[in-house]
Amino acid sequence: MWNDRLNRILDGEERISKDDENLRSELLIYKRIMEIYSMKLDYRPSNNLKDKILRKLERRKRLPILILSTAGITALFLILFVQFFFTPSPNPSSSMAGIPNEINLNEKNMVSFPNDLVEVLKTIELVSDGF
Amino acid sequence: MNEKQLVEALKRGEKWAYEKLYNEYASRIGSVAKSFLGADDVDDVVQEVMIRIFKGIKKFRGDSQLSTWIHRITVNVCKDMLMKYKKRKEILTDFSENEEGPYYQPKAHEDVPRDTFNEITVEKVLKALENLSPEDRLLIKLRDIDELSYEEISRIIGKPLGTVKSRLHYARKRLREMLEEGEKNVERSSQQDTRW
Repeated sequence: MWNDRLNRILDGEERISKDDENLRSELLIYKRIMEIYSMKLDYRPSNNLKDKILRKLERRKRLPILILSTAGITALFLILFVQFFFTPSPNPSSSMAGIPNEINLNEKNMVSFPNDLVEVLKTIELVSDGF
Repeated sequence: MNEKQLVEALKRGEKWAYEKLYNEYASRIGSVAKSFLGADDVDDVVQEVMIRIFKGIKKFRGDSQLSTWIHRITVNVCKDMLMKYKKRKEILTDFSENEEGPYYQPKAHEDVPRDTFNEITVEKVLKALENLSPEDRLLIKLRDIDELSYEEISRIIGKPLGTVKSRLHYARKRLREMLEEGEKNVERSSQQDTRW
């Protein structure tokens, strides 16, 4: 029964003549089928689903911020951890003892600088001036 | 508020825009999913479509209408779901389950001959629709129920216009044939019943 004319009529490309009873009847049957199908496909979305979806979307919206802040905090902790446990620190006892000792040695040297040596250096200076 | 403003708000991730989108499109998304999957449980599809809209709205350039874009996403989600279901070997079609009743009895038109109208029962129609492929059911729904243009349907399902047209013509014919086959089967079985 189904033919190209029916398709064209359904697509609005052709008009049905009043005396074509067979086509009219076929079209009415098809219309009835579509009514039933349309009712079968009726879908009413619930408010619960809406709330659930909006919550999910809100979480997804905040996700990049959450990831960035988590990454930042983790990196900070990692840096602190590495600094505390892996960076070699100078021995406090040796450094504390070492610096004053050197100063003391210099002081000692200055104090115990021999007078003879000064006399010798003065002589060298005089001789060099003579030349 | 026009569509452009809504799209801009969606791109900014405004909550009210998604609420509006849900109110406007959820029933359409669910309806398309029902036609494609043949299942009543379409909440998962609606949720997935909304999430994909959220993820992809920044790439939406406005070349097509927002509704066409959303329809296209819905069809893609349905295809993915169908693949998943097939893997799980789940039975999807439930067209014939619990469908008879006063809710599914449409009002008769006055100009329809009584005998022609009575031979088309809800059960037979649903059975015939169940036997159509998901794509054919979707085409019939988009064209003959939603009254979308062939161009729009072509964009939604991603197939050439000519293919869409010939496929729909075939689907309509197939649906009608299946209904006739169903009627013949019913007649045959009733004759057998009377013989016994």
